[in-house]
Amino acid sequence: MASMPPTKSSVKVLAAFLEKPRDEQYGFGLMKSTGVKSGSLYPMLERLERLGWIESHDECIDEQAEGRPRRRLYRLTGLGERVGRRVVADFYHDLGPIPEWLPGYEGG
Amino acid sequence: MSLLGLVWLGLVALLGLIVKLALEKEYAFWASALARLLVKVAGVVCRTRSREWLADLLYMQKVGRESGLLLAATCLISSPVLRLRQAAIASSTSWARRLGAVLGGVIVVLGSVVAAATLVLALSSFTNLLNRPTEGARAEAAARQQAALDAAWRPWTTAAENLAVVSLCLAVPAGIALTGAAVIGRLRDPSAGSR
Repeated sequence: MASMPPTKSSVKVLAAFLEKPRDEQYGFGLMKSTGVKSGSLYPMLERLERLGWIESHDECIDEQAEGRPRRRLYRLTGLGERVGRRVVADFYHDLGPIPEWLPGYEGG
Repeated sequence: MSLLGLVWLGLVALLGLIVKLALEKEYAFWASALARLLVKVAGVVCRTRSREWLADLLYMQKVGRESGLLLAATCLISSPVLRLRQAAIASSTSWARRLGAVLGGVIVVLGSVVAAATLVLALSSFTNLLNRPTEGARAEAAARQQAALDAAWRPWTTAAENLAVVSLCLAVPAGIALTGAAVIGRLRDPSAGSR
């Protein structure tokens, strides 16, 4: 992770993405699931997007029908999934056993 | 405690109970409204996230059936920091651009000067190399120089000039000394002048 040092918050966010790599996340949902505050989360999302690890787009809904505005949704890219798994695993490797939800990580 | 005091205490306790019950019962209403208010205020501070925050909060309230009050409060708290961060990034980018333009200009000017100087030096060296005098030409120039010196040699003129310079060197201090002596003499004897 040359251009983004793995902080505890960034690993938490990456882990949240990696738990369901195909799912789309939104800011408040990430804040709720990770406990990372908005002051850290949004700059981190910007950095991850700049690195090409995640991509974002507006939700495809009819605002009138749904009665609410479109959310900004974030999704892990292929690159983000590969590198993210390694970064999270390396981070947890220093702390203890590798989490079970990381089946794709083969070590090294 | 008097009866009036007891009644007053009971009224206060009853009012507190009513407020508590109302707040708890209507929590979903007022907490959601307060969360929306907080997010809107946060959006005023940090405009770039305004739409995203409100959309997320409304989704959470409509679909998730949650007030989102705590998350809205964190957005409000962090909004000045996010705003400052954006401003810092924007200013640093603009300063970097300006500095880059200035540095680029300086580098171009310096580079041009160095290149021009190198070119001139190289050309002059090349020209000197091409116009390098031969041995015969050098000997001829030396002979011409020596002839000019010989023609300028006039011993009598030189002696007269030396005599004039030495005389001047002796006469000027002597004149100054004599004048000084005369002035001192008059100062010592003021009557000498009036006689």
